Amino acid sequence: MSSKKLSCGRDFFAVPNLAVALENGGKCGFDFVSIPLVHPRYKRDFIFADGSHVRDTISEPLTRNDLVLPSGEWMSLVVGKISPWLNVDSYDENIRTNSEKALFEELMLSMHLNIPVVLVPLLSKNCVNLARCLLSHCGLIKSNQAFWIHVPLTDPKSTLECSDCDSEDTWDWWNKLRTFCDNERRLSLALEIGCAVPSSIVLKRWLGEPVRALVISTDLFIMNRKGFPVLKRCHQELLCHFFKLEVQFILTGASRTENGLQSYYQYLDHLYMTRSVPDKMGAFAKGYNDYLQNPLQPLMDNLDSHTYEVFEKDPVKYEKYEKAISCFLKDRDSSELHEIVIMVVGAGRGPLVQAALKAASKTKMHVKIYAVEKNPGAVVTLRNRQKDEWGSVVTVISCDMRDWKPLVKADLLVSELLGSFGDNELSPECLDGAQRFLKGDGVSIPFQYSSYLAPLSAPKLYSSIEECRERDKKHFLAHYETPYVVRLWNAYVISPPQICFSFNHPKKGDAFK
Amino acid sequence: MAKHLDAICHRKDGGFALAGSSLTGNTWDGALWLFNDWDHYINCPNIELEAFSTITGHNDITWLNQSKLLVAADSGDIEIWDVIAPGNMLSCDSALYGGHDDMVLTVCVPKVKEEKEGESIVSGGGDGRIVVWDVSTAKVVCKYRAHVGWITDIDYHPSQPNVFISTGLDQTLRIWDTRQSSPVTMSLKAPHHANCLCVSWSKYEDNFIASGDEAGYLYLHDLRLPVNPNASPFYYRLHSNAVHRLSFSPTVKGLVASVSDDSTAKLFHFPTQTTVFTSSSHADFVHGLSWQQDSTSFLTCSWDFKVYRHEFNESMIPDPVTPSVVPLTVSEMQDDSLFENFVDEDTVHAEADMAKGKGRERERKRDKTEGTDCNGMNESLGLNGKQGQAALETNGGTHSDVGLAK
Repeated sequence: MSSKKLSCGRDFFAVPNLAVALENGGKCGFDFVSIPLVHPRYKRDFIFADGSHVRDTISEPLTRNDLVLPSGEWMSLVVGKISPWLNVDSYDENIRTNSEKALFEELMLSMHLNIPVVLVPLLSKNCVNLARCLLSHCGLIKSNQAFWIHVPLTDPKSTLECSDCDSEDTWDWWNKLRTFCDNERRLSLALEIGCAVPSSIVLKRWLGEPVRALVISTDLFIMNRKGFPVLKRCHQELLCHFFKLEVQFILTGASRTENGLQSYYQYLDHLYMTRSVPDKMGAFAKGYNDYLQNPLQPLMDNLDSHTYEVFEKDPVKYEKYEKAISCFLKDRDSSELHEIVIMVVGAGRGPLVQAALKAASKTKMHVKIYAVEKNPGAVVTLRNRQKDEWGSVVTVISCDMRDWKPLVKADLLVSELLGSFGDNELSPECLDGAQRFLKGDGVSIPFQYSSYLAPLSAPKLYSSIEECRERDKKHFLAHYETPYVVRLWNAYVISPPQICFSFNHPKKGDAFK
Repeated sequence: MAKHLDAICHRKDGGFALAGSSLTGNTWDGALWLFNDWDHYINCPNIELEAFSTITGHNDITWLNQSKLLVAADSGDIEIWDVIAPGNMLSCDSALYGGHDDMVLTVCVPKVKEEKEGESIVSGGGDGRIVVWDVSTAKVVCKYRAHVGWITDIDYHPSQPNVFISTGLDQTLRIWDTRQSSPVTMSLKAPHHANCLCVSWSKYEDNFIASGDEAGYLYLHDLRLPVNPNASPFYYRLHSNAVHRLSFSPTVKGLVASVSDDSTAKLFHFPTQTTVFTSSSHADFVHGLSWQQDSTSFLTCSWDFKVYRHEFNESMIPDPVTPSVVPLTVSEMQDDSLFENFVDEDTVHAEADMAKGKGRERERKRDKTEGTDCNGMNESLGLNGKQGQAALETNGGTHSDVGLAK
């Protein structure tokens, strides 16, 4: 994936001739162009068209002919911009209504042209009507057209020459719009980077949002000694954070170098190529980023052979278990003469039995192992391994550990029942049920575990959950109150994780904290 | 064809230039025209043949001097067009570029010549920047992040070559002094939460600035009053749609010409608070406006591809009421009628706190009107730059004293 080029488009503010603009953009290597759909100064008047005003809009075409480009180019190369004079949230009713009509006119045009993305500017927190317009338009679209809400990363008021205006948090603008649009999936963000770089907390919050593009002005670049445009360190770092989300870029502003616009693109691509590439694990897990997975329920369901296989491939876990069992055995070796009883509860296909046997052979201790497993499928494997590999040292018990009545008591209880959130696969319940097998000085591996909680904001996950809701007829909150296993990527962890539940085994008195 | 005529500008000798854009169709180009006088335009058999075509459209033009025309182009450059004497041809030889990252929307030349070397002009663009240029070197002198969003208009101070006012789509008006290290000397909030599209600095009373907004309101800002976000300046709903350009008359005090998207052109006289002239000749948005030097006429141009000349003479201004001979009661009645014209015709914004403010507003206007009665109508509304607001209030106060005595 590191060989993939950065995708960067060129922004045009006025396009006398679209074919020429596309050609110029292409010559400099840009992947797409962003253009105004209608001339930015072409104001239309709908309110007074009913006779009180003689403006004859019908005889004039709204904008250029769609035939100037083949439809394939409209559909792949063009990002359309909404006219900047529109103000659907104006205090003046005429302006508001007029802007609304002009907005719908432009949105319908974008739909007709089938352009993939429409860039909608968001200039203040006063955006309720804009949200309503977008949401109602989204209901009409059949294609997968997307809307990039063009928001400045920091309030442009803060960089004005005059310092008397209060600057706002632009995230609030976006949050308001997104909320009023009910987290509509078609809406995502094109963030405009300004000369001010936000604090790391503000930045992290943006990184949890569906950012699809960064708008970067040639104004932010400085020239190096050879006259090529480069970014300041702070902007470089900012960009690197967003590379993680695989954003596209839109370069805006006039060229300020003699080396041509392509030098800006080449520099951005250079930054992208030299970013820190994810490791093997990251590359493998990429498909699982922000993907909702239902946690396993091994007590209720019997796991299948494939799942066991995936677990058994864990390179670290069984080594650690072996080490822990060895430590236990070493502690016992001096005084004990009789064999040490180890019970593996939830033995599965036997990886823990194997680990215990290895530990015993390394420490040269006599052990007696009971492998308790309730899944009849896994018991077949266990019995075969017992017969072929392990011999009489191991006894396979096909039984739920909570029901089993053993003849001897155990010195050591070994289990791997922890779920992603500690107790969610019912480890405490099972182990407390099995505690009665244990001698008074018996030990459980694991002997203690804690779960942690942190609040987070992840619009993508939220809308994924919402989609589950549409698929079945459960109570509308059911999917929001279900635990999921997710490799978090485009999410903002609002506060550091804090300890939630702790469990000790064996439970002594009131073990629950 | 570049039929959307956006700007018109008179030269001192009575000639004028005209700029149009094609805002629709396949090619968004533009055109410029140069006419020696009004007759030249009127007698022109085919105006399309007279055009000098340009690659992009333009929103504003202004004369740098008799032979150089500055054109604010959609390309982001300011083109300098030279008039070539024989045949009055226009040719574009150079441009000021590298200043704006969006369309240039307005360009403005100081009304008085600076003493120091160089020739500075100022431009505002869709990128919210104001750029001060030195035309003689074609270099950027300085750049300001002036407004959020488009800068819609800039006008220079009548007598100071370094001071100008700007307005933009962020509901503010800002006064700049390029000599200062923090150049914004005053920042005014546009009333009614509306964006101002045009601004004009009074030619004689440099304390007064007129602005027009996207809803059709005309405002008069008195710079002597302390900046108070709760107080509204004098306002009047002059047009039913956006006021696109405003210009104070070069010779008549308190007279302002305006053109609007309601397809009309008007003349408003502040001292008498009357609309002295309305033209409905145009059939589309009227965007360009230029006064003849002697104020005997002004030209307007529109998206209907037409230019009209509107005559003006001072007899169109209604006679001022002479308060000294009028009995007090009558005077009060007249005040009221004047006042009625003023606010009730006006669609006041539905805003919760306006109701309260309006009462105060009413009183304030009343004071002013009465005060001006005492002052003499030709200097009404404080349009005499020398006297301060204090003087006005004193006059108003005197008047109310008389009222009490009654």
